[in-house]
Amino acid sequence: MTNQEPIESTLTRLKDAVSLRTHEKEAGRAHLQAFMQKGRKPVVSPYAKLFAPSLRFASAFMLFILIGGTGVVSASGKAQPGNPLYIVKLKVAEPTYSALIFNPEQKTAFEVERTDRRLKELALVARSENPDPKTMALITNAFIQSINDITEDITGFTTTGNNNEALEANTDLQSVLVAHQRILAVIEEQNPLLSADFGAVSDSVDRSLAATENIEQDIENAVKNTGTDEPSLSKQEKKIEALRAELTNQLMRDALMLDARDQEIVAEALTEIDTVLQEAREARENEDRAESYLLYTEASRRLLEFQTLIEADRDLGIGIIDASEKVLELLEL
Amino acid sequence: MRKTSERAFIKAYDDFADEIFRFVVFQIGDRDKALDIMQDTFTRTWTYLENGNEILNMRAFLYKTARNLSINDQVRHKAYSLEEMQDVSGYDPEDTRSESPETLAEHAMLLSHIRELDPSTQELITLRYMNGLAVKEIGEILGEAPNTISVRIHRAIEELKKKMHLS
Repeated sequence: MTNQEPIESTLTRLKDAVSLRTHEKEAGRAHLQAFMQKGRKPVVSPYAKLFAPSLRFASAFMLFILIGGTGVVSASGKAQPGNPLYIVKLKVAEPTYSALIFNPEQKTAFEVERTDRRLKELALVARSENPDPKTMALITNAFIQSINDITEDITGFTTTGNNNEALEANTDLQSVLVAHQRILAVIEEQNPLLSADFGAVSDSVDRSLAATENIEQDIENAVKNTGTDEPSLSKQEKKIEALRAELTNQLMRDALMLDARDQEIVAEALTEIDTVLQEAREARENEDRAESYLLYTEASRRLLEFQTLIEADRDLGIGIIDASEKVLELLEL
Repeated sequence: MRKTSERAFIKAYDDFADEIFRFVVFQIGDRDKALDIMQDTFTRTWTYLENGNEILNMRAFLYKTARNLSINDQVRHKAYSLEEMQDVSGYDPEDTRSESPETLAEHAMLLSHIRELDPSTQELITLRYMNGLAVKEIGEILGEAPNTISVRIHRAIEELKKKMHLS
């Protein structure tokens, strides 16, 4: 500072001498988000009125009837399209089950599972001899509703700073949609006379997949910025390692029942997944938890997608993936 | 329904955390305490919003809250040493982005002179020059008319120049 420099400029330069460091600001941000999340008042359940003292016994009776009293709802659980109980499953059993899940992460996981079920059921209907347009429309509407619910949940997770949960939900949904996009493409190729409803679902899957891809980078950046804590990473690691083991068991069970085709696809897919898992473990050893979490999530995406394709191959017989002796050798290693 | 969304509030943190921190540091002269007070400012503001209140000017509200929280921790002594300046600026000899010790010494001297002014004048200089707030915004934070603020800023600079023998 000299006599020539205006004092005002010197004072302004003081601003640059004192500021938050990046890690301080990020730590503050994470702390604030945790505070905001912790301080959230519980949302009154829309079903709370059913449990008001005056209605308790009436509600308990209704629940008994609905869930176990007549066995109708219970029996509808595994009903497939064409079964008279299928509509009970769609309109009563599954929504009731969902309403009883209070953990937001588990609720979203269930909605992803419902999305997967709808697409599998649609594929079944599309491959039947006389696909019923009304059933296809029913399934399509239920599928669109599931997607809307999941999208709302993901938005809720990102708004409240639950970036890990947002990433997991978005990735799981992406795996389901990518796998079914391939399945639907194969079905359309094999059945060119399918109705316009089928085309509408295909378009909806494409749009929903594009939406997950649009927000994917933002969510990943948010995870990198806020970091990942040890419990979240451990939980993700255990989930993915268990999924990998489950897939191995599934392939061993199904291998001998499937025709010998696409050996290289299966072997390549498994090798790629294992490479990503190894990178995730190494990132964890290097104490880069955020990177490790992202890699585990990528492995999860590939595993779920692969699993869905294997199930479609087994249940629909549409030849996407077949096991072979080469795969059996791989699994025994 | 809450008027300020959670996303909007986190954005407010991203936009204003730095200047709130800087404001508090120059008020109390302790970096670690300033970090706590800055954080406290945001959590208390969020609690205020959660209780159903509305904030029309977030920036001004944050400054007022930070100001109130800083009052009890105002630096009592007037002198400002190089060591204190290094601490407040988060000086790290390993970090090439840190200001050099010579620059920090110069800043420490300037701040010592500022500390000789009365607290309300010091605050004015911090808000106007170190945080770059407009006169109107300063008026809102301090509860004074913009014209009064302009006059006070002018007098503050003149007084500082006298102390530094620059007039």
